[in-house]
Amino acid sequence: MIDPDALRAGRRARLRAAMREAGHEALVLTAAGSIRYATGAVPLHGDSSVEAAWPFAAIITAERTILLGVERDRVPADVETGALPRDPVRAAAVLADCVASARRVGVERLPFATAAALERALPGATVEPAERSVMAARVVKMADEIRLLRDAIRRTEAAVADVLPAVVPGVREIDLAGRFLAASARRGMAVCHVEPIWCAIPRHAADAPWTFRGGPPYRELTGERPLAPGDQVMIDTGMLHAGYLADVGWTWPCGGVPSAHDRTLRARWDEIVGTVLAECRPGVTAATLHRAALRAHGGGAPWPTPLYLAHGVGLGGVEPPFIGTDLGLAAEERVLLAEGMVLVLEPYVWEEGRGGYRAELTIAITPTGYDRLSAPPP
Amino acid sequence: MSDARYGRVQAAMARHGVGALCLATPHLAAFASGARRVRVAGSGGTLPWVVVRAGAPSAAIFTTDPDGAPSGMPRAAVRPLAWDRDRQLAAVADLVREVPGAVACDVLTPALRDALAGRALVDAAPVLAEAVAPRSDAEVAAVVVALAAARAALRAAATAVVPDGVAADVWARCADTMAEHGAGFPLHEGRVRRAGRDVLPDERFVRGDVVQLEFGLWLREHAGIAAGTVGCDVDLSASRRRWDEALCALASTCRDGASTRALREAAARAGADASGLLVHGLGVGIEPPLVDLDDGADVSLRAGTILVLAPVVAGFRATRALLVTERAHRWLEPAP
Repeated sequence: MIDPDALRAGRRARLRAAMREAGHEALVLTAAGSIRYATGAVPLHGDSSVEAAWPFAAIITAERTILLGVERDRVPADVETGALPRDPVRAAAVLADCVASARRVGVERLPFATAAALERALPGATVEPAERSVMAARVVKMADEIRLLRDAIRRTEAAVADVLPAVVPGVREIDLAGRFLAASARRGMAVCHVEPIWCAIPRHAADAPWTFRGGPPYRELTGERPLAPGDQVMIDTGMLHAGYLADVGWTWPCGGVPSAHDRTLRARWDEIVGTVLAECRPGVTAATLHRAALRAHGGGAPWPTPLYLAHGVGLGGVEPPFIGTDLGLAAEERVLLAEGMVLVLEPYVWEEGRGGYRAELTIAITPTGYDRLSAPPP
Repeated sequence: MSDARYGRVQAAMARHGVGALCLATPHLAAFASGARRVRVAGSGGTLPWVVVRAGAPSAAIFTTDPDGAPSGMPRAAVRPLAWDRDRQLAAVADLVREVPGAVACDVLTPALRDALAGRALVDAAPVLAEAVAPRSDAEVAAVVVALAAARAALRAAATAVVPDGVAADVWARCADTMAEHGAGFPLHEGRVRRAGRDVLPDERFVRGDVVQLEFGLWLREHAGIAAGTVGCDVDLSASRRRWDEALCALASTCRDGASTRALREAAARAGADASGLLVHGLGVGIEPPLVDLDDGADVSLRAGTILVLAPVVAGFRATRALLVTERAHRWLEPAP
């Protein structure tokens, strides 16, 4: 059993240590994941328009944890609460009052008018991105966080498996997305973080003429198209369980029977993942993983442009480190894997006429290597 | 439909003397550009990924999903999103360099200010709020379809509120129905509340429960939302009638030029409370005006605005959407 109070206290201690390291005397947090991390509260999870309609913010100082704009029943008892006015000037005044005398303040995303008013309300204070504190704390997970991630992944894998028998000719992509949400709810996961992707991979470059130069043909917007026999259905899901994101993705043939081409593509994906995994241990750079994937693929990058080979994951969404983006190998040389980091590896292999294969594998870095949090794709 | 919105955005920019809009917030970026990306909950980052220049025939977008660009958008206007913050900001700055006038942004960060140094930066919110209305007939029709889908999902969800029924079934039935209507992502997590607190998926209903439900969804890039209150083997018809009277009192104030203060006053006269917003706009998401009982802001309603009314009377909460017209209102969905 996980003790939620201890978990929350542990996260908050990590955050305050990161604040001291970054020199932040106060943080103004507005991302739902950051707020869950710092306070244990559960703001209404929704799209950006929902968050604009019901704004919330947390203020963290060395002594105080204050949450504004969230109903009391969604907030742990040890967190101070208050209202967050919708008017930007009044909102900034409330935030500035909570920040009090802090001279260096890390701030997450704020709407223009609120950010401008906050700058005016904190004359002489240095306002800078909160990311240096927040991501430094979040990038390495505690053991209980990894347990929660594993549980979220296990439940999501089961929900995806529930839907696979329905991947048959004639069913619409969107029907599968809905079935997945229903299956997730029946398994106790009602909070969808990322739109469920259930869409056919293009088999020919001509089927995806909009693809950016340098990347393999790709699509990930689930639509109303009916599936045809043998379609390679790329699945990518992102459900929250106890606030932690399960990023589960597989590729499944429409009709359930993989072709010889499908098996070849899957074998290539296995080879790339195996080569990358062989490098996964503390102290290795992100660039090492990037190069390993390129080496195993033997050609261009085995991921779509402008996506990536791997990303971090944790409480509330996709997180750094990102491996394989335009940040480039030089930046990745500065990112060292550390015990407790959780990575999602998601290479994509594609060949003209044969189509593609993509799946996701979540691992946690251990003292000597890595631990798989995901089951192997079916 | 996105062309009509884009036209309104351009017109509002001209009225505000704005040379360029730089947008990072997903629903605002989608509103202005018509571009679709894989939807992710939350407010997004601080890097603009949509730029609208005054007089340009199309927005420029930076995206991970180029197939989500509107069909009429020129290929040159669709670029890969940069994960390198400096590179992305430089690309945005480059796009607005030659454009005269202020640059309106939906977020403000020191990095954005540096990237656009020398430019007058203003808030994009008033420009976009102005562009919400008047909706074209096609936009209104699209929202009506989304509202109907949300209401159907709510009705299906409500059937799970039975003695000893497990709450997870509420979400499951909602999701099944969403998909039947072609919707694959909820607007928010869904609200299932009883006795003033959220019900968790593994909890069970008991006879006598009064359960407030709210679900939202997207359907073909437009949002639908529906709320209602159901009794678990308990008759709510009396509170339902009082809610209906309050709803009609609110609706009777909704016409072009009426103020949001009048809405609040009508709610007070009718004895209506609110759980969150009393009234809000609806389009590609929750939109202005945002009216709650405590907010002193006073905004004039404009014809062509879609409003969702959400009064609460004696614990009964439900929503009903209408279109503000010149002289009155037109309901966009049947009484719930």
